[in-house]
Amino acid sequence: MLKLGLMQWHAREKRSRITEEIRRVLEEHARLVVDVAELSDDDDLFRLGMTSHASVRVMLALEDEFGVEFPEHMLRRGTFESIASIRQSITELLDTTSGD
Amino acid sequence: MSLARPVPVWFGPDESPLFGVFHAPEETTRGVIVLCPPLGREYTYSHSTFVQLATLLTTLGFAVLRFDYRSTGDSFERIEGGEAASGFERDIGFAVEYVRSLGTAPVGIVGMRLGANFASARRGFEPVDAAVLWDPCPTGRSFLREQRALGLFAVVLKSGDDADPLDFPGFKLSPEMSDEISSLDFMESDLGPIAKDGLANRVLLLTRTERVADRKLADRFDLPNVEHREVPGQPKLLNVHDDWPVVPTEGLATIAEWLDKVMPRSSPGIAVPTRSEVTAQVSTNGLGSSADQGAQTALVRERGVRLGPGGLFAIETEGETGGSDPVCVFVSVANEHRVGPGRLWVQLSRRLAAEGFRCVRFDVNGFGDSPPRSGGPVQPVRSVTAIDDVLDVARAVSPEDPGNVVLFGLCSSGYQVLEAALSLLPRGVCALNPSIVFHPPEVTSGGRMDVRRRFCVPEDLALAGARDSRAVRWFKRRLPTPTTKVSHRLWSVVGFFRNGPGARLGNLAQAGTEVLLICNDHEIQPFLESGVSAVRRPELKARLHIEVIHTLNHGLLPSRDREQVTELILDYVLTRFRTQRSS
Repeated sequence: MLKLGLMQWHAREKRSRITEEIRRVLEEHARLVVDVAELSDDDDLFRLGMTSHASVRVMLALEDEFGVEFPEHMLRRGTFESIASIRQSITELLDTTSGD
Repeated sequence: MSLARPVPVWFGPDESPLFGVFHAPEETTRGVIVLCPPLGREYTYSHSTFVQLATLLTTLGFAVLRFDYRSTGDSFERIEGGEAASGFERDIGFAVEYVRSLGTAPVGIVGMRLGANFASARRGFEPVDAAVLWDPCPTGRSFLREQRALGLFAVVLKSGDDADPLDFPGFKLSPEMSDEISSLDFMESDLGPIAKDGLANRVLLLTRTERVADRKLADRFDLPNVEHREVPGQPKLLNVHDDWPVVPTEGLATIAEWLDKVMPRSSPGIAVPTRSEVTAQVSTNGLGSSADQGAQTALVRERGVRLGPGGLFAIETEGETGGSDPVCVFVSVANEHRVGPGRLWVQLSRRLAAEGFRCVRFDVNGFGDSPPRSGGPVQPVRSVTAIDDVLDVARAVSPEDPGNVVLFGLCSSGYQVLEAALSLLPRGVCALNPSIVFHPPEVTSGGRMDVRRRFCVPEDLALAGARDSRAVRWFKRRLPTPTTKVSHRLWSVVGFFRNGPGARLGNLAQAGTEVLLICNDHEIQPFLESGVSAVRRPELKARLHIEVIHTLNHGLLPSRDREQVTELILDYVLTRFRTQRSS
């Protein structure tokens, strides 16, 4: 039970750290029309002013930050349309990397 | 401002010559500046910036060479695997060697984006006096990923198993080119070659103000002979998708001022080149290099010409033994220069010249290397004067019979060739995704629509209102298929009687013009709704070829779309006009 609790706590911590980093990258590169601090995890970033060029900058910055590389199948708008979708992709990539 | 007209030149290896434009100052020359452009869409977006920079530098007494790397712009194809395969970096060496062959003047280099990265390698030339590295890419790989991601995010390119990873919006790379670009790295590699006695005595690094990666780049360039400045304007020049690129005037002024300060003032001068013609080998069974496996080859000749009363800049291509009629005329697209989407006009010109046709690709007034019409705006947006340009060029290339031409255009120039065709009644007209629904600038500024516009459908046409009326929407919700069919038929008949664009195509066919219209689902609509299906007489239908490719990208940015269109055009020209000519 304790082990399960610790694992859940670690998972929550990891998720929160990833979200924090994503928000920092968005703040620096996404050029949104709203304050990043006010964003919910599901807000549509493209509707909030992120252009194709800005999303590419976000992608490159995330790669630098997390030491991952988005594979071709992830290079689509859906991957970068919200904090939640970005987090899901990053988590997937980090899990793949650590599993190697 | 310098009044001397730029001179088109060819230089470099005989088997794949590079194209350049040489700008000479009016009086003595104090040095020559070689301008190295970016690659891909960035090359297209920055073309007019480089023209303006060249003009500005001539006013300071510099001669300027603008040029295209092999397999880009108006240059010939790179021959992979041959001696000339040393790549983009070597092409800059050819350009520097060429200007040094003209005299002993000091030489400077300005490279933008990948152009700066290529120049920094200093492959095949001795150090120059000054170099400007303008917004260089941190790494070549980051550039390629950026371009590929842009295409995928904007849904211009497709991902998936059958996707070509070397296909980028508006350009396609060979594996050798991709490897060459991927190997560029300013972040990790030794920057020794850029230090004093390497690339140049003095180097100016210009980075963007807003980019974090550029701050790291500037730290890497902390070398004794390198000055660093930040310049605004690059995002509005290069990070454009639906907008038009804006020339970064502050960046131009910074570069001109710095070169004026650091380049030597005295010089014995140079000989202005005069070679405005070249002959080279091209493939006749593909659009790539003459060295492609299994390629058959032919010699074609190209020369730079000025056409019509406005002195419009054009490149004429014909076979080794000359070319015959009808002359194929390719019109520059929107605000771009004469090379066409992904160089389609260049490749079609050479392919058709090898088949015996004379071809001309030209810049409409105010764009590329063509001057604006006197008294007109510098860059006319959908100006009616571009229609006059098409007519002027037809008269210039076929003075005996101006109608003895086949006109080609895409998007805005697709529209312009249709309008010109109604006056000219040419042998043929090929319009690709013509933009015919828009507000003409004369209407936007409060005037009446120009009488020369007969294909244009102003966006606020009453028909559009009726189509979106509550009654039509009510029927569409309840009976979608029959309503759409009835609506198309109805608007087609109405459009026919109103002499809409669809009916106008029928008029062209009736006058004997072979019409080829290639559109996607969206762009075909105004034709379908304005009488084109009312053209029923068999002899007219035989002259009216309409190809609808459902997923065709408007600007033909994916290479697959350009390949599809190429096949249709070659088939159209070779079956319709070669047969007529030989009979």
